[in-house]
Amino acid sequence: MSTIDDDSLAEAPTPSFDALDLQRTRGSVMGRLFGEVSTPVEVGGYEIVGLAGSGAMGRVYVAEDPRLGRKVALKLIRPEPGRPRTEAMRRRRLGLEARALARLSHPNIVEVLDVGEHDEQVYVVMELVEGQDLRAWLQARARTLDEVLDVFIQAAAGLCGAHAQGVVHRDFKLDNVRVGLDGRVRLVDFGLARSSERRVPTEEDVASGAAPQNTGIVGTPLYMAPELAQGQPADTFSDQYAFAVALHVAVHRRFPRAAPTESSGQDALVVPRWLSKIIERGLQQEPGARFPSMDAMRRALLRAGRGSRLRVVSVGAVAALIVTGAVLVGAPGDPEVDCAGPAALTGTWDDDRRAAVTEALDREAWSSGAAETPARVLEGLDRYASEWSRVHRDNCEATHVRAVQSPVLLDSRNACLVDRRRHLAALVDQLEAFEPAQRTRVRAMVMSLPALARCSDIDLLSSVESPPPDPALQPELDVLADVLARSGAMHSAGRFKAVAELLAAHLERARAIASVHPTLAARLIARAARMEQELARYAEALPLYEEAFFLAQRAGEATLATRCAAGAMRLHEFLGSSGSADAWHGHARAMVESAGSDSDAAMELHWAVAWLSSRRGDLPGAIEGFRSALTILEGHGETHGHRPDQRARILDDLADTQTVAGDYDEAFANASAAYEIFNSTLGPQHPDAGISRANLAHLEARRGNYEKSNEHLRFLIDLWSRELGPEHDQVVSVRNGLALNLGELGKHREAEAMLVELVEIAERNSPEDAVGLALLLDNVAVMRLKLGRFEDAEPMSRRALSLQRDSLGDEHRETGRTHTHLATILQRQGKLDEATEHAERALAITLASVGPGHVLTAQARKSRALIWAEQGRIDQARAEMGVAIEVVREALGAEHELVGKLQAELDAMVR
Amino acid sequence: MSTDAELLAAWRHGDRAAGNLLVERYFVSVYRFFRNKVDGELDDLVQATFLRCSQAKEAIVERGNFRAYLFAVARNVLTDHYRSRHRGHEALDLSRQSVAELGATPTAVLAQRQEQRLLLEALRSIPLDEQVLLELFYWERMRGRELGAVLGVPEGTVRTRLRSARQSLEAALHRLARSPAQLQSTLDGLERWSEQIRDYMAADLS
Repeated sequence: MSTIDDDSLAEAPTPSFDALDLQRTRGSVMGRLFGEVSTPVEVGGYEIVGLAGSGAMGRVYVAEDPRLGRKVALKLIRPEPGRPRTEAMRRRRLGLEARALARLSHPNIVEVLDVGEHDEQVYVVMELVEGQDLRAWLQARARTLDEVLDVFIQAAAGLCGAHAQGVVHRDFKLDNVRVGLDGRVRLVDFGLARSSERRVPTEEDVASGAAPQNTGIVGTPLYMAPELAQGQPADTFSDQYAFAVALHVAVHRRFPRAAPTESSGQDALVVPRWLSKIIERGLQQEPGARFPSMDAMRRALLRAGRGSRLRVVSVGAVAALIVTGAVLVGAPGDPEVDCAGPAALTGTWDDDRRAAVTEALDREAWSSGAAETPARVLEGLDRYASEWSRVHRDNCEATHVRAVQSPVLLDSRNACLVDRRRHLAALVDQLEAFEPAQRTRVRAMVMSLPALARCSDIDLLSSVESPPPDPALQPELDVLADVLARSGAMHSAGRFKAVAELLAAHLERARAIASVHPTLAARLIARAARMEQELARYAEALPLYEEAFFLAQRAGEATLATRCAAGAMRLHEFLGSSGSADAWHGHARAMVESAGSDSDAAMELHWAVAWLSSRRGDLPGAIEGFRSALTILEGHGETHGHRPDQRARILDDLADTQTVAGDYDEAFANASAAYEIFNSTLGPQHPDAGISRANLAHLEARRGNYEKSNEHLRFLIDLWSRELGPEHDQVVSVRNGLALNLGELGKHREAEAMLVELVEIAERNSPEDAVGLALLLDNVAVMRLKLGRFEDAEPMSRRALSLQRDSLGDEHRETGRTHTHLATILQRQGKLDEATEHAERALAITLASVGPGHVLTAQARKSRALIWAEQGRIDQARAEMGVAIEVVREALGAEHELVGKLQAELDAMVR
Repeated sequence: MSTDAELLAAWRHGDRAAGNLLVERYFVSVYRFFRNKVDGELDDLVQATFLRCSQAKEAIVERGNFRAYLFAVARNVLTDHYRSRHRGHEALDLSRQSVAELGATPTAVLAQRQEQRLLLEALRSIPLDEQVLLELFYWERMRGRELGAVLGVPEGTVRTRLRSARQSLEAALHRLARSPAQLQSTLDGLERWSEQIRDYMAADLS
């Protein structure tokens, strides 16, 4: 194979781009990828003297203020990676921060002298504090408890001062406390923390008991109050939590809940009981259980500290406090699930939260069809809560009262209950923030709660995780479990994009805990995959499914693994790689073999493979597959906690396949069953119930029940016009169906008027959708044909044809159909030559695209036959019509009304 | 000199200098890839492309050459970009829609000669998949198997697509040219291009 020589290529007109723009982009990309910032000479009029340090948010320089002739600290804040940095956003942030910072004036807060912008980066100029940060200060030498307390009481005063001025620090930690050479403590970096910078602590971080150093990204979740992890904004309580963490680190030399290690024990202090209690209170999971304010905490430290100092002094040996060996402090764990019953749901689903949800739902003006929605939602939540309490009481008593259950099982069941409570809490959060856009999904949201039955079933419980080997990881696991629960609630609310973003932000953290908790990681990643798929980002979804599969497999979660394998299989098939789809089919089968032929995994597999068969044209195989999935599902009953709508989804898929296979009766029965389930469980307003109803309407029309079909369609037109807007394409689509039904009922005039209106809507809103517009135009033409308005029909039909030729090409079946219609329209006007042209074309297209046995082909033949009849070629016409009738009889059955109509036309020719 | 694969591996293991070198090596190509296809957001897309490469599973890259992989990623990033902005009812189809139809107007392209401007404009008005194909062929000098790897199609298909892409481009030039002289001079340039295509096709058949 010869190659092109370089000379000729040199002549290829490769464009030259603006060198300056290229340089700018290069600088920006390099900076964002590698954090490269060349040291500037001058920033905002300050002369840079040297680099003082480099941290997560940027670099800190020592600079000279020429105006005042003194040295200052200048922090150049790195732009946030991966975020759109519009001018407006940047300025807004800068403005907010500058205002907040300028407001602060306190002896224990570093003074901010100036805030500005340099080369698209924000800079903050502060007084230069000679000294070191608190972490370095602690490491410099062993410190006495008094010294530590003194620094922390000053730091607390700084926080109090800020809180009093309405500013929250948001990122309190050892590194942000400067201890001056004069002993004065000053807090830095107020309000600069960014949520995106939190990262999973590494094992070293936990082991060393120190915040990570210059890892490129800072802010460690070890300082993060649990409510922040749940997405709530930072406030004085989260500052208090972070302060308590820092204090814990300072005295114990390790993070709360981190196991003591040899190295961490070395500098740890003997922690008096009163101090442990103060720290413990600041570390409470619930903000309400902490000190009411930072000032209260500061005063507690001051008061108790003073008392202890007196005692210490009375012993006369301050140095005695510097001893080795760590003291274990009872770590505040998750609130235990105890036998107390309803109290365990306090804060999750109690009177207050019930009132809040009621209020949120009552704000909405429910349409008459959905008037019962709020009551149903509250009822569903009450039922879930009381069932939860029942299982929980039973669990407790089985171990403690009846002593029929091992403590291990108690723990497993408790873990299951804690998980369910998490989901309930997340859902209630979503409902409290209920928005009108979610009204059609609100009933389904309650349905999305995971079944409680599983918490009672010993066999199904085996997959529940045991607590992590390292208790220090528990907070991180809790954060991720919360994310999982929250994403479930948001998913059910239809907030796909938000879920995808939430999960994307936590994927790395999920991966980081995969070795200790593969199930949780797999669930998070699998859900991320599902969301990407939901958002049609298939190429992103695929690797996530694959990743989740291997994790689930490792965790022994057969059902989840099968579901992931099935997801990967579908996407591979969808994206055109059948070979890979088959390989993933194999993976899924292997999982099912280990799980058993009547397992949930088997059900998932049957369902997915049925889909595959249907797609590959093996309709009997597909129908068989859907039926097998249904059989397993129905055999499991309630215990597996399957949601009823899962059955409805399979039934709907089955009905679709049967429709394609032409088995309309079976399809109708299954679509009806699916619709009934959706209707009664999700409510008639839910999008899935709507789609199911639309399918049903289509099948009713197929069966000739046009009135019944119209009832469904009118309901949907009403619902969707309200929910989606009267010109939404789904509304246009169902109104088109209604118009066609009206046509079948002989109401051609009404149908024609409606279709003309739809054409106008389509032209106005989606002129780019040539295919959809052509369909509507063709329908108008057909109605006019039936009304005998041949001349009005002709331009519509021609326009449809031209649109289709441009968009679909002249070989497409749809184009063929329009040719058929146009041929008849022309024939009726006596334009026989041109009519013949279109009829011939129609037949050629349909024969090639759908084959000789299709109704479309038969109709093309019919149009040709009518032309021939007109031309007096009666024998040819009769023969052609005979073929058309035969085809229709074969395709739709001898009883179909079209057969009768064609027969009548044939009879007319004979006479 | 280190190979792309070596640099990539080192980057994945935290060696920023290696990453830096690798990005430098392909920066202009990737910049050029996006320059004539989007307006604004260029930095984000270029960054996202390199970032995704650095995060990919090792096996993916080791199977093929890095450059093909890089452009396959760039193409995905571009698709995602358009998909995220896409508002229509119909699915986004980049084998049919052009940059011009998608509403992007990269105006800052500095082309000294009028013919170049015309050519760039014409490229933007043919289906995006075709634009990508032609630009990779001419600007990046990619050939059969490598192009196939970028587009995820067999080598034979690449030839067919090149031929039809060139026809689209020529039609677009006829449509867009403001004067016969301008068209002629652009077509002359194009003629050189098409000779290359023919050479390439012939070479492949022999």
